[in-house]
Amino acid sequence: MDNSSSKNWMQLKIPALSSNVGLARVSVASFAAECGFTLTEIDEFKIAVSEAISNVVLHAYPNREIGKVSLTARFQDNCIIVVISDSGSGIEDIDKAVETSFSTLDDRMGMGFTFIDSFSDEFEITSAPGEGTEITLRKFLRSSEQNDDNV
Amino acid sequence: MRTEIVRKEDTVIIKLEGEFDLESAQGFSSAVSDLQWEDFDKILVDLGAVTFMDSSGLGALLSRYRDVTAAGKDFVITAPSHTIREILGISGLNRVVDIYPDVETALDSDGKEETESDG
Repeated sequence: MDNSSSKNWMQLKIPALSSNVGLARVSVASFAAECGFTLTEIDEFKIAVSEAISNVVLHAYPNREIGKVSLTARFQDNCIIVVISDSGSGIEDIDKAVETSFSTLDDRMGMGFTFIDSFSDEFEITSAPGEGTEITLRKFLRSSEQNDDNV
Repeated sequence: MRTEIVRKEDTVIIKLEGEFDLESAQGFSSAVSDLQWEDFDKILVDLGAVTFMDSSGLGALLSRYRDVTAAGKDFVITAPSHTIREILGISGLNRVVDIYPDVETALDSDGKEETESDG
């Protein structure tokens, strides 16, 4: 692994469709592999990404045509940073939304943000009702020897 | 995700292969709902070939678990990967659903089996 990974980034802009959830997480997984994350770390981070994209598909655009979801990933300071954003309905109450077992949909477990919290190292949400939501996920590279043969 | 249904005596084995997420959860739910309840005593969901699962897959499992047990039948899971065991543990589903290391053990057993995620 050379130091090019420290300057690497990617961007996806895709329709918020359930069929695109896999595309988004596999893209991030490939990017994370280039950054030196282990398979176990990638498996776990994929869950966090999948939950964030699924939230957009399920909640962001309830009453109109299929909206867009934007995903960017970059590797910086031994950390992969993924930002997922939409221009949908936004979240009325973020504190409530992140509670385990809370969901506005009857057939959902409300575990999405719990898994995001469990399988990323840090996450933050900004949202404005009627304007959209942005969620940032971070996962740090645990052992620098995995990719720091670049000095 | 590919779904294969095999009947073995009083058990229906649902073998899943691939990624169990928002896109595939509905197909799994439909496959279980389409089964004839009176024909069997146990549903066994084999996760041995499931390469990914998130809360959408988990929710589909929990919903079908509720349906099956409400009908007086058993619902068990076999062969989850390490990461899937983790999410079963975080959600608490491992405390209500019997989890077996493989299909053969589940078929041979008529009681509770190990459910811890470590090991």
